[in-house]
Amino acid sequence: MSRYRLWFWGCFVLFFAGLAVASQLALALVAEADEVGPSMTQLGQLSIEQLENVEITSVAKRPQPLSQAAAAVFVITAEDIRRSGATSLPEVLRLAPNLEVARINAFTYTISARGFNSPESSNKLLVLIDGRSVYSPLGGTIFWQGIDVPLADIERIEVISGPGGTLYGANAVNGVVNIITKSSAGTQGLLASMGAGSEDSGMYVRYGGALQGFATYRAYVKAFHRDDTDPVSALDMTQDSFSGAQAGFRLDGGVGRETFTVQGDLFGNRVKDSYEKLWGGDMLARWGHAFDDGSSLSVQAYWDKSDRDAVLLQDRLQTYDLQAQHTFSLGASQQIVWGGEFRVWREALFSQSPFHFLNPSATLTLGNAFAQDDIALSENLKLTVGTKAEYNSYSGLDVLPNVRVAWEPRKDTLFWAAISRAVRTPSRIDRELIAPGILIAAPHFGSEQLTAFEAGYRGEILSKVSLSVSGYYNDYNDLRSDQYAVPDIFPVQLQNHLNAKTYGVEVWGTYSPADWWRLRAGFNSFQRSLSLDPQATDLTETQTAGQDPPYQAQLRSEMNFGSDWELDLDLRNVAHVKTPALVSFVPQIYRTVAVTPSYTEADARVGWRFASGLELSLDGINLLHSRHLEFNDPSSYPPRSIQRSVFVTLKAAL
Amino acid sequence: MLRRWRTGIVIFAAITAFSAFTPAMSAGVALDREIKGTFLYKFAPFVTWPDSAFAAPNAPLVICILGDPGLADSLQGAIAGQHDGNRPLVIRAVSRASADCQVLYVPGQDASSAAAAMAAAKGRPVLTVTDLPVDAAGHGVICFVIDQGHVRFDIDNAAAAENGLTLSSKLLGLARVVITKGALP
Repeated sequence: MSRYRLWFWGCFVLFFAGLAVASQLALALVAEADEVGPSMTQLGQLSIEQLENVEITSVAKRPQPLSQAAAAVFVITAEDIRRSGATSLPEVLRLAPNLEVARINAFTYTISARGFNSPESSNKLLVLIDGRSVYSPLGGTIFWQGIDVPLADIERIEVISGPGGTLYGANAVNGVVNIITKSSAGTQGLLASMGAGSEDSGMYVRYGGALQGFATYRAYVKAFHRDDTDPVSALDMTQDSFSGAQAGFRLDGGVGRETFTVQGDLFGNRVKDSYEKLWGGDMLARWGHAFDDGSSLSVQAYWDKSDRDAVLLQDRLQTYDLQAQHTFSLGASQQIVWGGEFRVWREALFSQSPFHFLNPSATLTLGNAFAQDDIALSENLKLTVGTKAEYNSYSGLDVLPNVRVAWEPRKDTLFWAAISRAVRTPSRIDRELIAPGILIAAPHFGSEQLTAFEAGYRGEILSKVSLSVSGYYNDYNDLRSDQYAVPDIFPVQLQNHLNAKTYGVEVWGTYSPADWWRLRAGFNSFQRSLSLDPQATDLTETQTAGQDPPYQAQLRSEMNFGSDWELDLDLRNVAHVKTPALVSFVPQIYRTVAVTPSYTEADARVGWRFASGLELSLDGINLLHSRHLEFNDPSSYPPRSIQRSVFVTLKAAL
Repeated sequence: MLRRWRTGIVIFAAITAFSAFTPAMSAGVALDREIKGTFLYKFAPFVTWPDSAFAAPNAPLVICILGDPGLADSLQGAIAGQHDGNRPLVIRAVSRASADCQVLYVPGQDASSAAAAMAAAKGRPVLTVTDLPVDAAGHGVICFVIDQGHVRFDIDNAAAAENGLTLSSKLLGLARVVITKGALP
């Protein structure tokens, strides 16, 4: 029992006491009004545009039909997040059957789509929070320990597996995670939640209000603590317990045909004993204009600061980004979107280890222009063609085209296919990292290239069954390899001599046996073959290829008992991860050793709405085993086991 | 570290106490119903009724809700004392279509009762609103739809013209789909 836990239980008692007083006062104030009265009075303060933005979080509502996108898209809704019992963003992403999510320790994760998953190699996934990219130019990865979004504020997360280069730019190679938060019009009033359990505790308070007929706002504070995970090795003495706090706001408004959003956040997170410390903030402004002819223009600017102190290194990053896009119709059958973006990354990395940058500071710039046309060839056949030209100050110009076809022979049945090109641009580590006698800089390291072929089906087979199936064949060239600059003599240099072909299938579906019961299932398989250019070697033995299970499966059951009780069960299986086989001189025995054993885990949640606006839930996470390992790569982080845990949450909406 | 938590608790307690004095939103499952109810009077400034629709220049604007007295009650509470221009807003719970309504909302998916009400209102200066899709029989001038977790609406502008109503371009711009004459099945 740490002192933090004591504080949290203290908070819990305070929370109940405060709530009791508050609800009495509130009841006295609204006693004469009908039960829904206060709500409708507040709704009445919203403008008609704001009303359209209010999100409905109705339990009875079925998930919305997916957009008619010709891509493998899985949408995580606000309701899915609420019912998942997840306490962090990466845990929420486990809901997407088209992602690989592996928890490394108490504070971080490695997440990828369609392979290449490891802290070193998961550099082909783009993550956007309300249009703000959190992709790090340092190593091309995502530092999940420095990314937090209040889960109750998320409207939906669109998880696209497959390339999204044409619309999202470079590094959207294997997928895009697009996190969209609710308009503040949909988060009016007070929401408070408090949770504590065997491994985690957290609290969250949000208040939203309206500025009469003009704008709405919300502000929040949150804090969390996660306990240590279990070391796998007896020699691992590190403690990785993780805590942090974050605060932020969002303002949305509109006058006539203009709409605007301004939002910002501040955070500070810390791993025990300052093993890793992260802090920073962001500010984003977006302006939209709707023209009389139905076309629309949006302009967005953001600033993001993300600093990190780890053992022997200090990383300072600031991002400035400006982008604009214009959407319009051409004739009756064409919908065109075009736009451009300019970004500046200013980074400084100070290292006290032999691995360092000759010049700690760098300014990277990026600029792009894109256009995409959706053409209705006939009533049920749609062709999408688009391309983006993107320039970056490291490797110059990349062209990222795609062609997509969607055929909807009848309502709720969509077949689609796509061919796209995407690139992963060089990171600072690829180009600049040096270590005397070991590694020399690679000023000519170029972009990693992908040509992707995909096809899929999405539809409702019977009235109660919906299904999505997608398959892909990815052809990668110029992936990162390590080789001697001069044959057989150190130092080595990073070069682009590894090639890969990957293929796989992603399937998910839902089935509702009854009004009160829904079943969901997801599965993905992944295969690959690797090859090197003639005369090339890869000394790190396919570290670039990542650690990917050949398949993953998940099953979820969501039950409602009356309008007050919910029972959710989740079962998932992740196959064992083997060392990728590449170089023939590695003995067979090492190639087939499981790096991470397969595991099966289950979660359960009971939710109870015991009074209007009050919800209590009990979560059991990783119930099947006292501990399990999800990721094992001692070169990046000491391997840690994730424990079973239970968690109680009280949520109040007033 | 300890200080950070303590600060969190103080903020938390302050907001909890503050909330007691704030009329706030209930997180009920009927939020879509409440939003639709609110839309009913928010439409009014964007609709022009013919003079024949009202007995006097300052006669009230009557919003009728068919078969949902609970919603009518809540809405009455929410709009107490409000006006559309110089017309006071009045909410009326009705059990069948009445000629005295300027707005008639028929909630629910029952096409036959909606069709009966639409037939009664047809050609009269009534803004009819339904939950039925704009391509279904018995749909109103304005048709609520749940789209991506939001309450949106489609507009049958031909039906509006038939009832002698003029909808502003702003309202048409806010609609998800606008059907004009000839597009009806």
